[in-house]
Amino acid sequence: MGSDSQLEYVDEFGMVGPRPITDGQRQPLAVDETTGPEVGTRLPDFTLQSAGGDTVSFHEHRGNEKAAVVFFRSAVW
Amino acid sequence: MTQLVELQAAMPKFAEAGIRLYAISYDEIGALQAFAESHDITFELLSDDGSKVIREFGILNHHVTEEQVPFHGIPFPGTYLVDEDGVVTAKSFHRSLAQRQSPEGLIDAALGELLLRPDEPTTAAEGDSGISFALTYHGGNGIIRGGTMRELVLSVDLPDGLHIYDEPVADGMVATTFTLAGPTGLRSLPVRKPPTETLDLPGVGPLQVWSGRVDFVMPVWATAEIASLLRDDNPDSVTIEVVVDYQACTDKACLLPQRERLSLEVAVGAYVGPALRGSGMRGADETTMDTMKWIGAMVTRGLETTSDPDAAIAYLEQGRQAASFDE
Repeated sequence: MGSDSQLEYVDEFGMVGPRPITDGQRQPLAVDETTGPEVGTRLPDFTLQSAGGDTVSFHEHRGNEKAAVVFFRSAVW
Repeated sequence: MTQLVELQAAMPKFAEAGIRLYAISYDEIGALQAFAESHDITFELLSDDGSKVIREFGILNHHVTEEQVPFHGIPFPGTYLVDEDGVVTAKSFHRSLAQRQSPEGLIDAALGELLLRPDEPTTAAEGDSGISFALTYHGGNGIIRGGTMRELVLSVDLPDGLHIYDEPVADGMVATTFTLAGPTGLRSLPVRKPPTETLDLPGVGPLQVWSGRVDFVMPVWATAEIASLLRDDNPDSVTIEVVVDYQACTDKACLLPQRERLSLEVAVGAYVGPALRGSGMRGADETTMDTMKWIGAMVTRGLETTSDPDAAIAYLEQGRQAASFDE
């Protein structure tokens, strides 16, 4: 490391390297990056298995209610 | 993860607002079931194993390459809010991984209003000529945590006849600014201001003013300096300090510019880490946060990772030794 000083980062254990994935300074979503379906458009439908064991088809499942759809990285790590 | 636990804690608020909640990740179904059981999750946790929906939406984090098992397949984290017709009314995608909208912020966005709650930490101050200020820590039930956004809401109540200014102002006048002064480690995004009214004064020109009740909203989040995932000596609370500069005027005369300082103590919440061991992890045999940090560190440092669990464990051990040496 050290060839690119902008990437240099010393973590809590004193080890030097690029900013780790968990570092808040890291900005993986560039300004010009897409964030998927746009405001004003219908959210594309999807069908997925739920932790409760159901097959959930989004628009059918929510009925006529408002909804929040949260994409998160992982429930494991 | 913290985000999911916070969403669960806010389920009564979502129900009250008539908003159904869905959360999607690339995790295998078994991992989601284990997580739902250990954290009593009652909203829909959906498994997009293979990241098909994530790709279709166009939000696959393409900075993570296919070789970077197990991280390949994650999305850019974010939230869509849809109305009764299924049309997207708002999106919440932040540039930094450490910024996730608080549940209360999502509800506000879905309803299109700022719903301050009586149990949120708040402090008040009296300013110039009967102007009153209140600073409220909005979201997360008053608790500060790493990884989720909160909002500092500055409410200004102006007596009839007085107004304050937005930028730009004429020379010698002071526009209203709301800035974060502390603590170290609390970061903010630009303040959201309500719409102004135009006041056209002869000889001064058109000015942008607020009158009555004005709510300024500053999104904030805690970095590891306040609430680290890895330290167990986080403070119990921190004091948030803000500075408000303003100048109040009537249509005829201006008062002197003023500075108001407000501070608010908020509790620091414990980090919510994985409660699982050995469940659902792709290609590794330990799933605690500290081991994941080291696997993550290996990934970002371009080292061979989970195709060789022994090498991963050796590297983790090296990290642990470095940690204990440091102490």
